[in-house]
Amino acid sequence: MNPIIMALLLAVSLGIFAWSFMRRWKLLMVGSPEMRWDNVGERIKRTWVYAFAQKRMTRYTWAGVAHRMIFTGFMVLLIRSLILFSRGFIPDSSLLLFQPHTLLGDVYSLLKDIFVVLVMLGAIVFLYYRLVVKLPRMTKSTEGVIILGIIVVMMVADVLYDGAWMVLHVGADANVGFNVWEPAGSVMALMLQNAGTGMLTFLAHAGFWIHVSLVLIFLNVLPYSKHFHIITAIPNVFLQDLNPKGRLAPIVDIEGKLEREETLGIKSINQFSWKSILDFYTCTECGRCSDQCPANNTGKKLSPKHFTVDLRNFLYENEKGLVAGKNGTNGNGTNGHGSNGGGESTDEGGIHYKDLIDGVIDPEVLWACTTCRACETECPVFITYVDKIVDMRRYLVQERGEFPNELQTAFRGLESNMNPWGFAPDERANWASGLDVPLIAENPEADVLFWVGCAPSYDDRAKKTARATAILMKQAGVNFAILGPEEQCTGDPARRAGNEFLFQMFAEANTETLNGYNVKKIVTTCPHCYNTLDHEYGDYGGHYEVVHHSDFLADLVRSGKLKPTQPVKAKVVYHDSCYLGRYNDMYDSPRDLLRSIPGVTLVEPVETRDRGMCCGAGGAQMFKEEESGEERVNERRTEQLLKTDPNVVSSACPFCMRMLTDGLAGKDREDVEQLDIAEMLLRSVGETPNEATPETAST
Amino acid sequence: MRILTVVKQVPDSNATIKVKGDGSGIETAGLKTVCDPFDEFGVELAVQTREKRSDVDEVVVICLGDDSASGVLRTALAMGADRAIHVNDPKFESMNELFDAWVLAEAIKKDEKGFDLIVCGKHNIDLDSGAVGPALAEFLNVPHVGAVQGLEIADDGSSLTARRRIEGAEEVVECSMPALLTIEKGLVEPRYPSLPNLMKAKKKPVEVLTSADISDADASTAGTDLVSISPPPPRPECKMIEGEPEEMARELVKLLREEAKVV
Repeated sequence: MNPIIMALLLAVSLGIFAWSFMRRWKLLMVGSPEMRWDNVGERIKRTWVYAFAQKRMTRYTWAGVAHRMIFTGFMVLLIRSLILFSRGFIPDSSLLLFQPHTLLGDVYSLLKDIFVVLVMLGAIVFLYYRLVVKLPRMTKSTEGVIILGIIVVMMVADVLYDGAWMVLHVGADANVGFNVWEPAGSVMALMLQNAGTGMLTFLAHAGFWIHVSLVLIFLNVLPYSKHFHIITAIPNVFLQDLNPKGRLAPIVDIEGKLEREETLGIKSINQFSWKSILDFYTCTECGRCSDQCPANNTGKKLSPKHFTVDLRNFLYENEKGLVAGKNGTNGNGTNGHGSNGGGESTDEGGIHYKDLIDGVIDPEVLWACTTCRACETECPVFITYVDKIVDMRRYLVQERGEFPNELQTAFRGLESNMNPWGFAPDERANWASGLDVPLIAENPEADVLFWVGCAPSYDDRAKKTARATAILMKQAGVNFAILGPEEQCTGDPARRAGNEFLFQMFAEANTETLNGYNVKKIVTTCPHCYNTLDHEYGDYGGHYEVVHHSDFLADLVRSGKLKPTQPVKAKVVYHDSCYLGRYNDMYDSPRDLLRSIPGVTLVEPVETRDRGMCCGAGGAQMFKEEESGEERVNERRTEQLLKTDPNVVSSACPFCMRMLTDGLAGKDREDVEQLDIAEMLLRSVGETPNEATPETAST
Repeated sequence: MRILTVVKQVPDSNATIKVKGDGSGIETAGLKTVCDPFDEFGVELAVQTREKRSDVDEVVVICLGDDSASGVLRTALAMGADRAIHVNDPKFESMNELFDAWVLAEAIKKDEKGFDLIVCGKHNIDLDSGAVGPALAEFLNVPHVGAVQGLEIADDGSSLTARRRIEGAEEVVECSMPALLTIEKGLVEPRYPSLPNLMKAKKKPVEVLTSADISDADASTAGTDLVSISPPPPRPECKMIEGEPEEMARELVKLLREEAKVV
């Protein structure tokens, strides 16, 4: 092969690629700083599991299998491409390692041939999905088809080159035959054995140059297409957030930021971190996120995929202005670019500071999110959404004061009465009337603090869960206490609604109270409280052993302190709370608890565990009207649960309970009971005489 | 145009109210207080008017109350008022809203430039007399439109057209300015102050007026005397009737006739 042409080809295409890469690199650097290279061991582990072993890919079975074939094939064929490039300069080169008739050479050539075929098959599966099935989750672009076409042609060219080359080099008196070590190439050779030398030379050259050129063209297309993920996905997985899934990063030094007039939350594209921009680069538009998104599936404006793609398009379309703004060369970069992690001057003018709410991301998109993390659980390359959406809400709420009106009632209730409904704080412990539950001030030696939460304290339905849990703990002889009027909202709804300032007030007040009582272990029935207490209060000096009541009660049953003996004849379907399941991987304890009850038949909906659909209340949706769409999230979820034909829908979250109760009522299915796992357990354990209803209580 | 908005600190509507032992008032220790929601409508209206028009020079907020009421003024400043007047003197503490109006009027008169528009809430959720607005208008000798639900101010700022809902109809009132309006729910939605505005509010000027500044306060003769306050009687116990529908109906009629004596 011609070394000059090869040298030229390589120089030009690698040169262009380097230029493209630098463009993308500079654009990436427009983002704000973020630390993402700590704990390298864990990062390498996750990169192996999720990038190389493609663990999440097969959540969609056949697309996953096809992708694995192509991905692994590309890894194997990387060496083949290098061999071919070297043959441009040294005929018959095998990079000194993969010579024919050596063990390594033979094994590699067998592997290569197998994967050439598998890659081709994988690409055909993808073409089938795009052209025949037309999967709705995908963006049906010509680009996708062209890229898949290039892959197929590359593979065919490779085999053609091998086959023709074999026939040409077989020697005058020998025949070509099937070679176990080169199955694809030798089959091609058999097909070509009667062709003339001229033809064979042409085919060998054509195969070689087509393959080599397509690899280089492919490489140069990547930075400008969704196939950039081929380069960015592995780093994106490596650089993922290692914090607990449910933790939102705090805005540090809010008052200082206000003094310095820095933006709270994210207003403009450059306030996203470089890692967020890498997320935008990496999105392959497979649509798995939106396919699982409860908002998208019920006709809301939010589609996580389009959220990412819209921001990426904005980024690419304004590349010049953004890079210039970053370098302070566009005339309005007088204060340059902040280096304070998202804080940025609100200098007017210039694309650098364009408010994304005005024309790029519709606020309705942001307000439709239930923060259920279905999208993030699905994304094979660990693109995040909840943090970005909450960051943009933070700007909307704190800087613009713009948010769905109903949330104002919740914010004001929180501000004046420490709970989103605005009930009187001194009535916080009324749920326990007649149960003789001690306040921690009266029982400072309690082993466990029962963190009740706002809904179980005030909501008539959820109160029963709190009562059931308290009764069960008493029966098991647990030495526990409550904070009573000293308890305040954890701040979860404020934080998820973008009111970070308000959240931090609660975080500081509650950690002070808890630390004041030297609390070590907390039990709570609310997954939202659980998540905040466990993962978010650490930032405010609150470090506790936090246990959800599903775990706590399951343990009491396991250790024999609670004995579910009375049969409860019921077909029970359990609904996974997002903040227990996807946020905290707690799928089994609530189910174990239900199974421990004699008479219970536990059934599962199709959409279950980490694919369990949100009830629609998370992310402060509980305190606002649902955004407009075709259907309500809780109705859809109720339908899914009803398909199992249950007598009881059981859940372990007060918000889920409210949404599903409404869902059942909306479908006129009040014959199906909605019970918390604690209420189910209490039915089986049996209530003791000291249990009294609030109406007849003597206290 | 200069706009004045009157605000009052009141107990939070969800707070548990405890009446003082001697019936002279309510316990204020530990009581959650807020800016009166109707007064907030007034602040919002004033701020929106300034945002819509180019001829509004100033939005001033005035409050009669003790030291703790400064929080209410901060809220109004964060919502967009430019400066605040805090009328604060133990001598002014009263449960007599006509006296409150008199003191406010005297304080307002001290402002030499005068106000073209004065807005109050329709009533305050604490004492609920609805007297402050009309009395203030009377003391300041300006026309007053009550419970306004729609408003247009003439381009030249000389008059306004207000709409108010009355029994079975809507009344349209034209009024020359200066004028005083009391605001009904539904005209505007109060905003939630953004954090930067809360910060800015801390730096806005608050003028404090005491009895030394308002010498004519004692001249008030108007008003009512509060005799005593007592909590409402506890809600009578709920009686549940059980049984078959027919029996329940029979029992209900019997109870309505014999116990409630309403049929």
